[in-house]
Amino acid sequence: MDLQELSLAVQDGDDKKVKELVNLALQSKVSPENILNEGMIGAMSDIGEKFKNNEIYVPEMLMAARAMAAGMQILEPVLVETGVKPIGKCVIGTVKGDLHDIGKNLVKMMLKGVGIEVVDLGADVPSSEFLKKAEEIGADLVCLSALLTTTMPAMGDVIRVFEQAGVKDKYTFMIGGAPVTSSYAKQINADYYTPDAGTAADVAKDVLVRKAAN
Amino acid sequence: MKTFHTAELKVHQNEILQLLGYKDRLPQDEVLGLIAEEIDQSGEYLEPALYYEDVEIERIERDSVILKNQVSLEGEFITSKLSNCFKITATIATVGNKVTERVRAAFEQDDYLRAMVIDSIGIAALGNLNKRFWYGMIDTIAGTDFGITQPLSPGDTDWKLQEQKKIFQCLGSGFHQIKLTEYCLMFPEKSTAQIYGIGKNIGVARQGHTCSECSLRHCAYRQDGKVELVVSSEGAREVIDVESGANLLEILRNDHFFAESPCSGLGLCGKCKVKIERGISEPNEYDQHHLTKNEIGNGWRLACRIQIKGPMEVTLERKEGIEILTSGRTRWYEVQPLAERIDLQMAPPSIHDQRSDLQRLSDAYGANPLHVRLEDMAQISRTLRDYQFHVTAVIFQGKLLALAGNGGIKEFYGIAADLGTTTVAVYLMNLCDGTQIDVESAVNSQGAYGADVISRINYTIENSEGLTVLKNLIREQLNGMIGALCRRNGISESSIYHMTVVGNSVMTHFLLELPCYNIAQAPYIPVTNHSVEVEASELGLKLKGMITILPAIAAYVGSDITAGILSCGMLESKGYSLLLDLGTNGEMVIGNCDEILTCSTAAGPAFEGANIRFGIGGVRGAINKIDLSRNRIYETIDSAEPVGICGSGVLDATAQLLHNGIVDGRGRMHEPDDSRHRNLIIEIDGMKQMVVAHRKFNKEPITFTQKDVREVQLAKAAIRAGINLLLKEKELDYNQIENVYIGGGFGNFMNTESAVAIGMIPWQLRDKIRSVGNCAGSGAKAYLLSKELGRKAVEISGRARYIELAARKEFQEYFIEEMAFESN
Repeated sequence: MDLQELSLAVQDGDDKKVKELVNLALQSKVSPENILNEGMIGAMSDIGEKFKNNEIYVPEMLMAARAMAAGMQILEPVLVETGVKPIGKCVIGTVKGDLHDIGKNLVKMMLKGVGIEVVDLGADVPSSEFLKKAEEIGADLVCLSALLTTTMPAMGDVIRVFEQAGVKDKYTFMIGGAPVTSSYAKQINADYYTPDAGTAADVAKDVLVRKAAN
Repeated sequence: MKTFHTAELKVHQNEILQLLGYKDRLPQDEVLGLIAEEIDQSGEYLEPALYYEDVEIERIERDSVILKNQVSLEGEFITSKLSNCFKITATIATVGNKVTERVRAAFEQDDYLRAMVIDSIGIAALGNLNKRFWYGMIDTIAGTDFGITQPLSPGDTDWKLQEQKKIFQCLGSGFHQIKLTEYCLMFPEKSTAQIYGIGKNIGVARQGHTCSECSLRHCAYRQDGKVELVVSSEGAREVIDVESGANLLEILRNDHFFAESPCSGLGLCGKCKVKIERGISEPNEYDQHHLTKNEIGNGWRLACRIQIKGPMEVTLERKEGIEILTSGRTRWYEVQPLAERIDLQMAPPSIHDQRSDLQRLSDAYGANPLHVRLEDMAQISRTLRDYQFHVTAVIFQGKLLALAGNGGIKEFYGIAADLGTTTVAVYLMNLCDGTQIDVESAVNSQGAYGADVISRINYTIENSEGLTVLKNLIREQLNGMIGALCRRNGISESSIYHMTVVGNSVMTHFLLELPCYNIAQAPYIPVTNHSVEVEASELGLKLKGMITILPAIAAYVGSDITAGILSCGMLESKGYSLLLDLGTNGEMVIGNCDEILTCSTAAGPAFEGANIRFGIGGVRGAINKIDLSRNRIYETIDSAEPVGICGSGVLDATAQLLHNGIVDGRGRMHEPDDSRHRNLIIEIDGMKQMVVAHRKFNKEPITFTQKDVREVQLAKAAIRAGINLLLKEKELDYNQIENVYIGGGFGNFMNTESAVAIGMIPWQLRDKIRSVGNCAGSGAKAYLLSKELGRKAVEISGRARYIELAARKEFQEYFIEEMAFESN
C-alpha cells in the first residue's frame, strides 16, 4: 500500500481520511513503524519545511498536527503492542516568571509530530522542576521558552541547575522565544536556538538521530 | 488617572488572517468559519479597558526624560523620541483575562487551531483599543500646531522592558485588574503599557509599530525588506522605498500622498481605490464588493487591502488636501551631481617624480590645486599610501570633501530643502543614481513668531536677539529633520555631502542670520540675491559637506521661484508660459527659454487661511471643497470632522456663492431667492454669512462671511492684476501663452474651475493650467543632481527681470478694475 496518500491526507489536515487510511494500512499488514515514519512523521517534516518557507501558515500546520493526532489514536496502541519506542523524550516548559505558553505549545505539537514523547511542564516553571522531570523520565531534550527580556535569564538559571547537579551533558538544551537569539544560546550554554516550531522539530529530530547512531 | 470610554470593540476577519500569517491567499473554509464563529462570540470574552494620564515633562537630559511627577524615563531611544515634546500621555490597556482563559481551555482540549484564533482576536482587539484611543487624541489636536508621536512601548524597541514600571507609576493607583509582575509581565496577558509624546510642531505620527526600530530581530511578522514603490499622481511621479509587507494605504498617508479613507483602512468604504500599474494581484473580496467589474479589469484595487510584497507602481485617482506638498515634477535631466564621487588612480612617487601628495591628487583630478580643509590635509598622505595611490574622493567644485580607499565611499547622499514660510520639506536624495530615498516635512517652527514674513521680520527688529532666535529655530529644525531622515533610513549624517536650499528671501536670510529689515520697507533691499555656498559646519548643520542656497531674483522673488522656473518646464520652449506660485505672497513669472520676467504681489494670506473668519491651513479636517449642489455641501481633508476652511475651500466658497447668485458681481452677499439655499445664509452681529458646516465638539457653525468675500476680492484682484501687467509688459495676449503652471501647496489643491470662476485666472487660459506640485522642491533637487541645471539656475536669476508693482501706476488701475467679479 502506498503511504504517500496518507502523508498527503495528514498534510491536508483531513482527520477523517487519515483515520480511514491508517485502518486500511493496518488491515493490509503494513508495518506500524512504516505507517508512523513514512505516513505521519514524513508528513509532519514536509509540513515543517513548508511552514519555514512560508508556503503554509500556522492554521494549516495546526490542522496537519490534528490530523496526525487522529491517526495516532489508532496507531499508538498497535505501536505499544509491537514494542516500537518513540525516537526520544523531551521535557518542555516556559521558564519561571513567564506566562506565555503559545509558542511553547506550538513547539510541543511539532515535536510530537516527529515522533518525540513530550512532557509539558506548562508555564512559569521553577528551574528545579525541569531537572526533576528530566531525570525522572530519562529525557533526551530539554526545551525552554521565554518571551520577555526580563524572563530570558531564567533559561540560563535552568541550565545552571543541571550543571550544578552534574547532569547537564546528559541532555540537549534547546531554547526559543521572541527576544532569544543564537548568540544568547551560546552565552547561557544552551545547545540550540531555533526561530520557529518547524525548525525546532527538525533540529530535535537531527539531534536524536545522531544520538541513536552513536 | 482617567478612564477612556469606548464602544464595543470590533475585530475584523482580515486582521486575524494577518496575525495568523496569511499574506497572499485565504485559508480553507474551516479556518474562515472558525474565525467568524469566534469573532461572533468575542463580545462575551473581550473586556476592554484603557486608563490614561497626562504628565508634563520637566526637563530632558542626555539619556533621560524627567517628568513633573519625578518619574524619569531612561535611555537614548525614548529621549530621542520625546526630544521635542512637552508632555506625555501614559496609557495602560487590556482586553481582560477571559480571552486568555479561553485560549488555555482550547489548548487543553488539543484544539490548537481554535486557541490560536482566539489568541489572535485578543491581540487584534487590544491593538484596536489602543488605536482608537490614539486616533481620538489625533482628533483633539487637529487644526492646532500640536503634534503627537507614535505609540511608544517598552520592550519591543530599544526602550527597556523594565521601564514599564514607570508607566504604571505615572498612572498611580485606582485600577486593580491590571498588574505588573516583578518580571515586568503584565497580567492579564493581553495588556499593553504605552506612552505618546505631545509637542508643538512635531507633526502627527500615523504609523504605529516601526519594524526597523524593533529589537525582536527574528519576529515572524518583521517587515524589513525594502521594495520599490512608484507612485504617480497627477503627472508627478515619486519613487519610495517601502518595507515589504507594508500596507499601501498607510504608506501613501505617511508619505503625504492623499488617499481618501473615511473608514480609516478597514475595507468598509471602498474610497481608497488606486490603479495598480505594475505588481497587481488578483482582486480580493473587498475589491469585488466595492469596485465595478470594469474598474477591477482596469487594475483598480483598494489600497487599504494591499500588502506590498514586491516592486509596485500605482497611480492615484486624484490628489488633494495633503498637509504639505512634497511631490513635484518627475526627474527629466541626467544625474550628474555638483558633488562628484570619483575614482582617482595615480602613479606612486619616485625619486624622479617628487610632486607633493596634494599636487599628485590634484593632477589626477585635473584641478590645480584641490582645495582641502586643513584637518583633512593631514590625512592625505596616509590615505594615499594605505591604498596604493588608488582612492575614491568626493569633490565639490574643486574642494575635497572626503577621501578613502578605492571604492570606499559607498554611501553618497544629498539633501534638497524647501524652506517655506509655513512649511519645511526636506528630501533625502541618493547622489549615486538620483533617486529620492525619503522626505520629511513639518510646519515651520518659526510660526510662533508670526504667520507671515513681515511679522517675523518685525520680531527681529523689535528684539535684539530676534534674528538669533529665528536662525536657531530653523537650523535646529533642519538638523532634526535631517536626523530623522538619517535614522529612518539607517544612514549617517556624515555621508551627506551636499544640501541645496530654496526659500523666499526672508527664510534664506534667517537661515544665514542676515538682517532683513531693509527687505520689509521700501525700497525693499535684501543683503544678497546671489547664491551662497558655505560649509555645513558654518551654519551649524550636521552634515559632512556643503550647503548651497540657490540664487534669488529679488527681495520678494526668492530662490524658491528660481527653483520653480527651473523645474516647471517654462525654460524648455520658445513659447511663453506663466508660473504662478500662490501662497502668502503671489509670485508670478512669465517667460520662455530666452527671457524671464517676474513680479510679486501681496496677494494677502487669504488663501493660507489668514484673515478669513474660519480660515486654517491645509490640515486634517480643513474644508477643502464646497459644492452647493450637493446634499452635504463640503468635503474635508482626510474626511475628518470639519475644523475650518482652507484656501481651496475659500476659493470654492466664493465661486459657489457667485454661481448661485448669492454674491453679486460687486461682492455683496444677498438673501438667496432660491428656497433651496434659504437656510444657508444667516446673519451674525449684523454680518451676512454662509453656514458651511458645524464643528462637532461645540456645534458652532463654520461660516464664510461677507468680510471673507472681500478678502478674496483683494487677493484675486492682486493676482489677476499681476498677470495682466506681465502680459502687457511683453505685449502678449492670452492665446500666446502656452502653459499656466500653478505651483505651491494651495495652487496644487485649488479647484481651477473656481479660480477661473472668480476671475483670478483669465478664463481664456483655463485649458492651459498645469499643476506642477512643489516646483520649488523639484528645483532644489534638480540643482543638487544636475551640474548643468545648477548653472542654468544661476544664469536665470542673473538675467531675470523683476517688475516692482508698487512703482507701476497701471498696476493700481488693473487692481481696482479686477476687484469686481464680473469683469470676465
